Amino acid sequence: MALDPSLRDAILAAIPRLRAFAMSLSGNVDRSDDLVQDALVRALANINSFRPGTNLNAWLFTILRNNFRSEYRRRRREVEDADGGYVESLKSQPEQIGRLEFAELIVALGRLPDDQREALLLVGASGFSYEEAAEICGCAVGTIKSRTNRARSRLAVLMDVSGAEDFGPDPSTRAILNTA
Amino acid sequence: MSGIPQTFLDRDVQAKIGDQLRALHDDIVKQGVPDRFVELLSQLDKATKDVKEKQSPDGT
Repeated sequence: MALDPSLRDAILAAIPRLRAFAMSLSGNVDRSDDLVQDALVRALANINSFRPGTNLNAWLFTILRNNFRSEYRRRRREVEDADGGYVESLKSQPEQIGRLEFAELIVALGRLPDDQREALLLVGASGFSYEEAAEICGCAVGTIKSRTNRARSRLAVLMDVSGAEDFGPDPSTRAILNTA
Repeated sequence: MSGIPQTFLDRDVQAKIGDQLRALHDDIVKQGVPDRFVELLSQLDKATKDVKEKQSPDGT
C-alpha cells in the first residue's frame, strides 16, 4: 500500500506555503528549502501518526516548526550569521527570493525573538487562525495573541515605518533597498 | 513584560506590515513546487511502498 494519492496531492499542495513559512522563519533561501525537505522526510516517515480528516497543513507546519526550533538551537553557535548575511543572500539570489524590497522585512523578522516571529508569521502571513497557530506552537491561544501583538509592535519599530530613525536599517541596507 | 502598549501602534503602520508579510508570503507561494520536492515525494512514496511490501509476510 502506497501513500494515498489524495494525501500525496494534499502534501504537494502544501509545499509552497511551507516554503514561504520556512523562508520567513529562517531568513535564508538555501536553508529554508532544506527545512522543507527535512519536514517532508519526517512527515512521510511518520505518516501513520497523521489522522485523516484532521488539519494536514497544521500537522506539516508543526513538524517544520519543531524541527527548525531544535535545528536552529544546534546551529546557532556554528553559523553566526550577521544581520548583513540575510541581505547578502537576497542580493545573490534575487530571482529565488523575489523582489529586493523584502530585504528590510526579512532582516527585521530575523531580529524578533523566535516565539514572536513564528506566531506573527503563522497568523499574519500563513493565514492560520490563532487557535491553529496555538496548536502548531504547542501553547495557549492567549499566548499566541500576545506574541503576535508584541511582534507587530517590535517590527514597526525595527522597520522604521513609524519614523523611529534610530532603529531603522543602517545606511548600507538602506542603499540596497533604494536600488530595488 | 507587556511590551509596547497596543495603543502605541498606528493602524496604518500595522496595515503596512501586514501587507508586506503577505506580499512576501505570496511571492514565494507563487513559485509553486520546485522539481526537487516533486522528486523527493516520489522517492519517499516509493520507499514507503517498498518497506510495506517487505513487511508483508505474504507479499505479492
